[in-house]
Amino acid sequence: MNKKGLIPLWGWKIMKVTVHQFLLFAILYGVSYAHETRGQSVLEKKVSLDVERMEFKSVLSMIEEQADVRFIYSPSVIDIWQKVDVKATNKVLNLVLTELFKPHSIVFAVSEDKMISLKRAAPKVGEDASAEVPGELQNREVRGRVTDETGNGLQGVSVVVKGTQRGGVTHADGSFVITVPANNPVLVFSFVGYRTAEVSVGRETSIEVSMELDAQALEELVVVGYGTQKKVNLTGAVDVISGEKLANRQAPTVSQLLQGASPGMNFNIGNQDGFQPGATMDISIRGRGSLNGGAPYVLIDGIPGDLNNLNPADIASISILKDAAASAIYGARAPYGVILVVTKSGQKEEKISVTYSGNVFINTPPPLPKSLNSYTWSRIQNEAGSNSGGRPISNATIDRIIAYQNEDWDYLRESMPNWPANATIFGAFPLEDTWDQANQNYANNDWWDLYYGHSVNQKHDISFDGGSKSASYYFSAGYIGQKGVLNFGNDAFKRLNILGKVNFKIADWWDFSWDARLANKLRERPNMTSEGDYSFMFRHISRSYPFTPMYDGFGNYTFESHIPSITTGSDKANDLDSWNTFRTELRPVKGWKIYGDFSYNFQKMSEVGVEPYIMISNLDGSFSPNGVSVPNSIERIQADTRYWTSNVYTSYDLQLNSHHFMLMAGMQLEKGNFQQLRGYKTDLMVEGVPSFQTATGPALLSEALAHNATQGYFSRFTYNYKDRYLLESNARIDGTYVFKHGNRWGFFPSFSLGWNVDREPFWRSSDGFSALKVRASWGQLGNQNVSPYGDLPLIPVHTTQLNWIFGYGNGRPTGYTSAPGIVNRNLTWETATTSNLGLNMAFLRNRLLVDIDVFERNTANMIGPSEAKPGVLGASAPRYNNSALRTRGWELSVNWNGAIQDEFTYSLGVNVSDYKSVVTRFFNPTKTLSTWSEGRTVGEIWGFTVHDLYRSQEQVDAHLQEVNLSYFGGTWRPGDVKYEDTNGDGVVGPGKYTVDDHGDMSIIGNSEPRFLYAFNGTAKYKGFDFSMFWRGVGKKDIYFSNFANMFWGFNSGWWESSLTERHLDYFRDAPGDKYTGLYEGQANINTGAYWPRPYLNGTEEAKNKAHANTRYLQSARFLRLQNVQLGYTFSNKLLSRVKLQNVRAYLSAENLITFTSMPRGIDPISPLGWGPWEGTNGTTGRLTYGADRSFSVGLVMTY
Amino acid sequence: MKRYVVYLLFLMSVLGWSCERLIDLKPLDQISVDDYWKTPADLQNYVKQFYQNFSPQTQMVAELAVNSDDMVHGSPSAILNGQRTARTGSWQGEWAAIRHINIFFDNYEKCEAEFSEIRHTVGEAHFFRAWYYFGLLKEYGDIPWYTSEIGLDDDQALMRPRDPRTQVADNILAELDKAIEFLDTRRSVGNTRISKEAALALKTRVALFEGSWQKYHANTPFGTAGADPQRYFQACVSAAEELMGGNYTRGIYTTGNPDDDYYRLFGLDNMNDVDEVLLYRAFNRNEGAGNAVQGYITYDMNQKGITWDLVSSYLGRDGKPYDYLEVGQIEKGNDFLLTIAAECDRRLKSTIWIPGDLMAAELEKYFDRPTIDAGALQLNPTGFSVKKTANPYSPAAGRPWSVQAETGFIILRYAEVLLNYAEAYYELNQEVAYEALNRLRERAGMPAFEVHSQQLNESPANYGYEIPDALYEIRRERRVEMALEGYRDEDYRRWAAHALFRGQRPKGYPVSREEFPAYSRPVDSNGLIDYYADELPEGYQFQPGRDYLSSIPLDELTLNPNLVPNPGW
Repeated sequence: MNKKGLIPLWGWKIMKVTVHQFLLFAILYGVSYAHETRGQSVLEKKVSLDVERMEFKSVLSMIEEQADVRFIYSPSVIDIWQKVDVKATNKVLNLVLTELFKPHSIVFAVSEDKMISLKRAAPKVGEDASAEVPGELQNREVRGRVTDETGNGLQGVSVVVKGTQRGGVTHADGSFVITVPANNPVLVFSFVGYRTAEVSVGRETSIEVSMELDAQALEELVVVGYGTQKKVNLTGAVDVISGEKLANRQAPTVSQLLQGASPGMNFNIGNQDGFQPGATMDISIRGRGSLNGGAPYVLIDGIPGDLNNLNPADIASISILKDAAASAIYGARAPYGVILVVTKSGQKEEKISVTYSGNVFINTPPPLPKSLNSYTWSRIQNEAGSNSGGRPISNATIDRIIAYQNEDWDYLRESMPNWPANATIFGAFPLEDTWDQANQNYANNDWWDLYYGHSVNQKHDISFDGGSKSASYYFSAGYIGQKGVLNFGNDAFKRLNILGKVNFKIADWWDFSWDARLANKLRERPNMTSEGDYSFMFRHISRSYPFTPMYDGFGNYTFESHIPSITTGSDKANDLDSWNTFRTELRPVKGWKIYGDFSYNFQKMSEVGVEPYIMISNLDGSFSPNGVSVPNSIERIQADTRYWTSNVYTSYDLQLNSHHFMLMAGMQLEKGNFQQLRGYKTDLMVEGVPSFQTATGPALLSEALAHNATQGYFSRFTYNYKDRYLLESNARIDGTYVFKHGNRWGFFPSFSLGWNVDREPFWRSSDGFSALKVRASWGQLGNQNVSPYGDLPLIPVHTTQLNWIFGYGNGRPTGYTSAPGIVNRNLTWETATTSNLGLNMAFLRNRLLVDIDVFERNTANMIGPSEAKPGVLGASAPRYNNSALRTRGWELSVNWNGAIQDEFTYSLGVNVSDYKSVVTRFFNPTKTLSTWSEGRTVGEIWGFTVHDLYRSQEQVDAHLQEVNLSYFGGTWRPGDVKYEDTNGDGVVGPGKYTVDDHGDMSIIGNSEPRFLYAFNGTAKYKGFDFSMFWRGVGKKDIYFSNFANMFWGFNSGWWESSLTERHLDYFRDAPGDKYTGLYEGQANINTGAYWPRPYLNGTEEAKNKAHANTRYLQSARFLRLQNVQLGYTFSNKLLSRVKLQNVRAYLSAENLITFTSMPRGIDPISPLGWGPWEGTNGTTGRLTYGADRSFSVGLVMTY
Repeated sequence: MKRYVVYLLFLMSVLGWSCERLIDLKPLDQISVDDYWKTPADLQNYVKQFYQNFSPQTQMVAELAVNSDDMVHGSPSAILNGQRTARTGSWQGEWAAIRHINIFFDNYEKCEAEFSEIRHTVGEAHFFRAWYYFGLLKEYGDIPWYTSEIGLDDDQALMRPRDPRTQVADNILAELDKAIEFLDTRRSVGNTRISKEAALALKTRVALFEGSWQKYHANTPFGTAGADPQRYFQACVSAAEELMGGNYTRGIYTTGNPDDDYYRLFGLDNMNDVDEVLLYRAFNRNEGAGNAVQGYITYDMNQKGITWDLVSSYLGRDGKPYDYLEVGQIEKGNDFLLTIAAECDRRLKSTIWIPGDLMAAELEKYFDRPTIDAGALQLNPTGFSVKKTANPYSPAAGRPWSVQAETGFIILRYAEVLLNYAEAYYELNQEVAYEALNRLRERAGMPAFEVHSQQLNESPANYGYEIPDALYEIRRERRVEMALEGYRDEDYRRWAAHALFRGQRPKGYPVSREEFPAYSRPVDSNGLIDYYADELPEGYQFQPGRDYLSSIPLDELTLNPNLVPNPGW
């Protein structure tokens, strides 16, 4: 993976500054060693120095100042921390440098603009003769010692003969002995925190090696908006995630893989389908930027794109731009952070390399709840029904349930007069001519157990890369196939990715490249054939009654099992996303670059939903279609998006003595067109060939059209004094189609400062504290991510059918219009102003890195949710730029790289972040709690105080004597929730439901995640590697709505209940009998229960559950082992026989363990489900797809 | 040189885009308000939206009766039992239709066509405005009246206090007068669209409602200053007389078979040619627009049962009060049902299932006995099972709700107009409109309408105040003819007649211990099913000082301090 070589000329690539790159740098400046002419005079300058044991770095700085020169070098050439002595009084620079560098095998050259470049001395002629090796030198011993930069022996340094597995580690004093082959052996020395050194042994028998501290972390080039920046020179809050972190994992989408990779990023399952196959996650950087939401801006190789259409294996690195200084160059595109993805590329002059990686992974569901047996279930439903709503399960049915569990088939046969003579399987109740009687069945099933199984999936990637002198290339193809873990129905996700990149050098001053990227996604899922949609399927599963039979008397799946609905018909969606990008860069004169690109995107979405008849068997053995599936139908949606964008910019670099200036200016244009066509036809003649041609019903057609365009102009100025003082300023002017003329342009500036304290002459590096940087930034960004034409009154045209038929026997007329919404003609941008303070510190020779950022973001002119207006208005008031939100937060990341003797190296990383958003301005004069108001914290959950249930009638009576509870309901019984009169006014209620008069309500929790954290650890020993990665949320509250039957168990109707063991601790104060209650007789009484008295009555249930309260507030904090991986890399000896460079086999598991207090079946990340799921209440009517546990075996091979 | 050509091309391409044209985009698939309202079709398409949901969304007639003393549902009605709590939130949703209709009136004059071309459409709009305001009037009483779209910043309009209900009712009647003037007759538009006949019928309903409200709530917190009930009774009578006497399509559905005609009417799929049906909602299974009526009437009872109170208000077949209780002492269960079916008004056996009745012809399913012991969906809590709107010959009969039926849903029928007329006529003149009432009697094969002494009834209905015997009989006739159609709750409210049920429990039929040996629900001293014995120990706790109107949502009272809360809330 460590591809060294030429920097791609516009620098999309992150890499260390290597010798090659240095050469390139020199070329860029139009310098060549053959033309060292005028510059030579510099060397005649006289300097005076008298230092002892001073770092190279500082010595060079002093020389730079005195002689007005500038040194250019790669850290691999010179160890800047090494201490040297220099004594010179008014000496010619040439001499001083020669004396200084000679002992370190460094030569220097001077360019015309007073730049002195340093490089390693070439090996001496004599040493080069090792090609002819005398026989006696074969397999000889070499001794030596490895020291650190201070000359002390280094223990535990790995010494390996290059190209072999032969080697060992150094002893406590740094000494080693190794047997080397002939043929000019090269020894490779490696140690954590130090730069790997390669030493050619030649004919020596003893070698002294001094290891250089690895300053890589600071010298890395980081991709930023419209360019790159040395990490050491960054002034904004930018985090880099290397592609390796995402590689070799089996989660299907990049958004899932990014979970926990960087502090300050939050991940949510954005829809009610949970972790469905191919699930994507909503990412937010630094919390909610706006009450209107808003996602980070994602750019792939500089062009906006969809993160989740990428093949994770193609990613070289991802930069997360968090503050306004870093993302201001994107203006109104990127108010809430930017994610810059860089894909892999080939390198010029590199031999072709082929990598294959593949894995097979098995997904299993997260821990499932366990259903109650049907007898228990029916009896407790009857008890709830006795409380209110009526007993749902008749005694005769319960008798049959008992008989079924006792396998008393004779009883069953006789108890059902309609039982067909030839039917043999019991469980279903026959009535009239059908088998499907919702509550008269008597089987005994755990539907979660029956529905959930496992899936076997696979993933394959292959890539080729390499390059010639003037061209480089990278080609890759990847495939992933993932299936849902349900045992029934087709629920699958497949993605094919192809990426091709070629890069040509047309002339020394002109580069050109072409990227082509394609993603084809296929998603097939059950459509429940008119019963509801995909999410409805989960609702069905979760509320299936245990007595519902899987089979009817003849062994066919019953309709009530919903298996026929799930297996009949599916929706297939096929998404094709294709990008072609041309880029070119021109360099007219030294320091001046002109860059341009053009990218064209074509996206095609086609979806076909076929809903055939659900065939259900009748009592006479015949089959007929179930009513919900009549008529059968086909729906087809075709949509395509065409989009192009172009970036053009130019930059000029200027170096004046120690002052470095850079100016950049450019523009971006983009335009998109969208069209969608939807057709629907009923009555398929031949279900096997579903098409519009074979459907005979009336056709319905509708379409949607949209277009969009934006244009922006941007500029950047950076100034840098000796890498010590850094300044950057960005500005962007953006225009968008979203708003009307006059409101559509915005100006967004940013400034940032940095101070590399460790580059100051006064900084004395020590082992303890090796680097320190202080950063500060301020900037403004716009948010154009609002729905367009919000300022234009439009008449909505409904092309759907009217729900009304004009005359019996007629069809439903199609098409009508409705009233326009109320608009605000002055709508304009939201503006987010962010300030950021950052500290980057390195300790213990850069082994310990600590980064801290603190930020505040003020979103002004926020388009507020509608102002509360009297309802007589008859429509929601339009949105105004009338509100503001303040988010404050911090991020901390600590990384440690360590080693313990004998080839054991390890690393540990922790990141923690937190933020909180407060509404600082909002038009809500009455301060009603039904919408935002000034000072309210985002995520607040308002609720009542409940300490307990009423445990007896006396308690009910006593409380009712004191307080008025009519707000909640009229009838109160033991086992009901006891709402406390916290303000002591004798009435429990919401007061006026305003901030000032909220009665007995108070803020009882917050639904926003706080204290997001992640840990990762890696370890390597010999060929083995191990890594694990945990992530979690420290605090988050949820109050489940009363419709959330997965949480509450009992619900308004017996058919909406999802009862498990944990719901059995409900309030019971009457003795049970054979047909009612959990236990017979007095044993049934349970007045110390956790759950309130259950009712099968919406009003009574709502009384106890619908009002958020302290007693049933839940914590959604969690800690999850996101990934754990164990790998083994095979030895080169073995591999060279099969001509492979590298082979690694590994085992990997995703989502293995989750610590959470959520009940089984509710995933803390996706507690959403069927029902009203907006707002602060978590609701789930079903078990969604939780985060599957996934076990994988994989192999990576490089040729 | 070459390189400068390249630079130049670059520069030119940049300059080429430096204008705003690129981002000046209009919507492609939506129409700007200013471009609309040009043609009669624009107006028609706009008014069509109101058909979507103006009629009750339920597809079951019986569903509309659950908040009245005619019906027992799974648990007691929160309204009858005084259990409602003050509403939070907003009532914006209820005003949306008003706004939409007002936008029509603000703009329709922009249409370039002759008025004759848009006349009917304008009439429909007036009808809908009346319809939606009538809904608000019934729910809240006094409401602010608006005739054009309220501007967002029009605080004067937004903060308007409530207009007195008399004024609102007058405005609604004025809207209906406009509608009657402009609308085409049923002959040209059919009875699935709003017609002149429908508007006249609605006018009788509104006028009677308001007239009786003003009369019976006088001197209560719900009374109104300046009440003038007679004026409204007069309006009702005039509208009804216009419909009864004018050149309109209306009538009473009959095929000359008194046993069946009333029953068949409600189960019809196709009501296009039924003169009695002035406005109905038609269904079409193949168009994905069916309903679940048959499933809930002929397959399971969905926890609905008719009350003893309703059943016992049917007269005997001789036109005299019938002593149900006495029969119930002797006959129980199925026997009781069979007896009353044979001896009472035929409309009774058209409304409740009688053992032996055909429920589904295709499945040869017959009604066996009430499902008083069944589980939830099958349960019939009272023993009187809903039959009205059944159609044994519908393909959906006897099948679960998921098999869609096409049974028409009647919104306005002529029989109601006759009843409205009779009641208003009596209130106005203290005279009985025999002719109108007898048309209904005739269809049911009942003797002509006659006034009996209330004391002839075994336990006369108690309205909470004395009423004349004639009015008593007119109200009884109304209850019987319109049973379960959704007007009983309007009736008790306009009559201020909470005494009918307050402090009482709805009862079921005399259960037979032979038929249901294991029946475990409570029965009363007369052997009648007492389904709510546990839940309503003191009977319904309707709060007369409060429950006649709904509460105005709390947010609205906060947002507009000029709104006065309804009494008791």
